[in-house]
Amino acid sequence: MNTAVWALEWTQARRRPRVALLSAAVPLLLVTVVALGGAPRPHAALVYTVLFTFFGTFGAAVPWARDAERGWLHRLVLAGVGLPALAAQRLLASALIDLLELLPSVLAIAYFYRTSSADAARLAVMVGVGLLAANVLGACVAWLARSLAETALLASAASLLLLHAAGVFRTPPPGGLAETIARFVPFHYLHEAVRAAVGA
Amino acid sequence: MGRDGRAAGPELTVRGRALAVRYGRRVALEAFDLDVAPGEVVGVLGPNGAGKTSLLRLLATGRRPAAGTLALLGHDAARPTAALRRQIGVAGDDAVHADALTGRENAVLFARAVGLARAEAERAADALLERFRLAADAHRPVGEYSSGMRRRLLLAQALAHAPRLVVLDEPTTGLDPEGRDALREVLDERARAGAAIVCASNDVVEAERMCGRVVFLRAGRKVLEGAPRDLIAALGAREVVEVRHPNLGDVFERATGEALVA
Repeated sequence: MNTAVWALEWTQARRRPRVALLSAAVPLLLVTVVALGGAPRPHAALVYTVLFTFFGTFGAAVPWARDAERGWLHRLVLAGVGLPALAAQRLLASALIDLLELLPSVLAIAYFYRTSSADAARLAVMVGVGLLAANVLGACVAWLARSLAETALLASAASLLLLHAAGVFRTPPPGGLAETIARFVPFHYLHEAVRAAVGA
Repeated sequence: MGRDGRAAGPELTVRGRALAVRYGRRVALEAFDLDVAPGEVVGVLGPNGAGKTSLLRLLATGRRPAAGTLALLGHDAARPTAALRRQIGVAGDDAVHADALTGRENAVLFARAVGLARAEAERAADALLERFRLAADAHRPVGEYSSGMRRRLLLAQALAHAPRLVVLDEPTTGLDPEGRDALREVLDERARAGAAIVCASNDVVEAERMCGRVVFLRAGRKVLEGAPRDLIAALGAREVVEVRHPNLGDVFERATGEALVA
């Protein structure tokens, strides 16, 4: 299998240490402030879930839109990289890079809330799954949008709607349609793992 | 076309019939026929907006014809596959690269994207970077390259995997005389090896040097086609005397001993 796009994503990430450092430091700062600020645990869990989701969605949507706008994606496709291979390699690589950048934040949550190792491991896995879903969402948003500004707007709206559908902002009544829908949204499982990790 | 998308008569690299390209109501190309055999270098000439870039987009499989049929390397271009695209080398009008990567990494990336194994991709990329005089800057990020260097890298990427069809839009734009010489040499080699080359240009002098056949476009239609020598001979003029004043190119040549433009 040709893994040129996968290799490209990792090389680009390695070449931007400042971006990687900021991507790790800013969420870590936010987690630290919320955890040490004494926010109620359900509220803190909500903030962390929104943070991880937005991190993945925006982190994917903006580069996808920018690369489409400047003709880079078109060039790769015309060079013979199949669209499914391009999407799969890019999404998997960027979700993994996002996870590595968020790992300090995940560890900080585990440290501040004295999370059990089982819950911490579950949190790391679900953050990875959530980031993959958020990256897919970001790519879809970028495909629909016509400009970078539109991409940012659509990414916010789509993320918030899906977080709402996942039952992050309001626990859906048991047995209802909203609960059934929530089970189909990956962010639901991310939020469950965050809640377990912070003891909410 | 056959059921598998292969056209009859696969000996032609390009076989287009009654091709049309439209952008909404605007017609960019109409009733256009084009045959290109392996080893041919065909220039597409015409003023801005004549339909040159639209034609190249069809040949690069970046756009499907609004009408007509187009077979590339025996395959229906209306249903392009990744395998077909890997046999086509494209250098469009925009030199878009991964700016964080070095020139060599960019070249290897594209050689690998078309299916070459890593070692083979590195060999091919190094050879082309050398030919286009980018070897000394191969390990610098492309973001630091000048526009001429970006252009040369684009050409090296388009040619590194020895494609069977080469599609170039204004290939000499932004190239210095050495870059133009390198391009001519490489295209000549590729053509001798059997690649079909189609390039759009506004540079009639360069087209005359590089192309075995030229096609003139105007307002989306073919107005003339033939070998440059025959077309010029048909003009009937024995010679054209050009009178010109000295210009800055002459100043540069006097100062350095090199021509500023070819």
